[in-house]
Amino acid sequence: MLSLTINGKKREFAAGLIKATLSALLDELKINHATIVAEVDGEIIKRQDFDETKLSSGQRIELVRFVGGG
Amino acid sequence: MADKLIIAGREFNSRLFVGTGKFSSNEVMARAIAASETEMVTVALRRVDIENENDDMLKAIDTEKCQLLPNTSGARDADEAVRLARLARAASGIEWVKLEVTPDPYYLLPDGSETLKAASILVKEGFIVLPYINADPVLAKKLQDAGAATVMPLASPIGSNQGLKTKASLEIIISQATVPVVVDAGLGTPSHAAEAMELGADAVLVNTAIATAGDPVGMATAFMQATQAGRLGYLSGMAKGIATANASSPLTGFLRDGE
Repeated sequence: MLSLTINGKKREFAAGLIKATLSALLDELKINHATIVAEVDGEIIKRQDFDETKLSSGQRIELVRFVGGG
Repeated sequence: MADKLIIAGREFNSRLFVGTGKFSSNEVMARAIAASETEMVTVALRRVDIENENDDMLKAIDTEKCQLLPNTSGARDADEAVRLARLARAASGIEWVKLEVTPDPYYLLPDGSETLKAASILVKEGFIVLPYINADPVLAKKLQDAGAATVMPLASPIGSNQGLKTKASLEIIISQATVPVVVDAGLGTPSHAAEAMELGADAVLVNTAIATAGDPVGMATAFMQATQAGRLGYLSGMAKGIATANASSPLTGFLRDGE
């Protein structure tokens, strides 16, 4: 079991369901990689590094994107 | 007319900046942005809603024509603002940032000392920093000295549509600034934008008044025209107000002899 806190909410993934990388997680959540930025445990992950970023249980992941604002 | 606004080396033909919040749809937003003729649009960063995947709003913005200006809205102190700015740069590759630090959710007034602290950090990291501030001439000067690319004093609280409540202080900021002054927040009607430009502001930023209008595209056009009118009025040398009448028609005439 892979247990992650994503945008403040705890989520669990069957270990076999995703290869434990950030890219695979985004695919699993059906999130377009090109439109978001990610932080893992407070560290910004560049988009080109999504594939190589390994995830492990207990990590805090923030996924943010641009929205309308003044 | 070669009256260009220059911020951090980039030339802008338009002196109206447009915020992208509160539009009813991306389609309406895109049409309002086009009608406004703006070349600078603000955007915010928020958590992805994992349950409800939304459209990518950036697709609706012509980023060839418009400089994207990510803001740090939601930040309540300098650290949060710096974090948001870094995220925005990672997301977009854009180094421009509208720095806003608003600890008070009721009036959304900016925290000057935290803003100055964040601005100093972000300037050192290579950001082009456009800070949103209260209309405080001393703070404006300190931010300018810290390397801010503009200062963006508020006219009245964000989204309040109250117009130029800070007029006297805005005039002082405008008279002292060596960086462009962008009047931001609270401009509720086209005449407010014109008034700010007549004071000598270099640009205005409008969001709520356009986005929540009955016809946002019509209102975007109205703000575009008002901003241009106010600017041209300012450049053309405005007549001074005086206390008594000063006839514009000749008073000497033929109706009464001996006058």
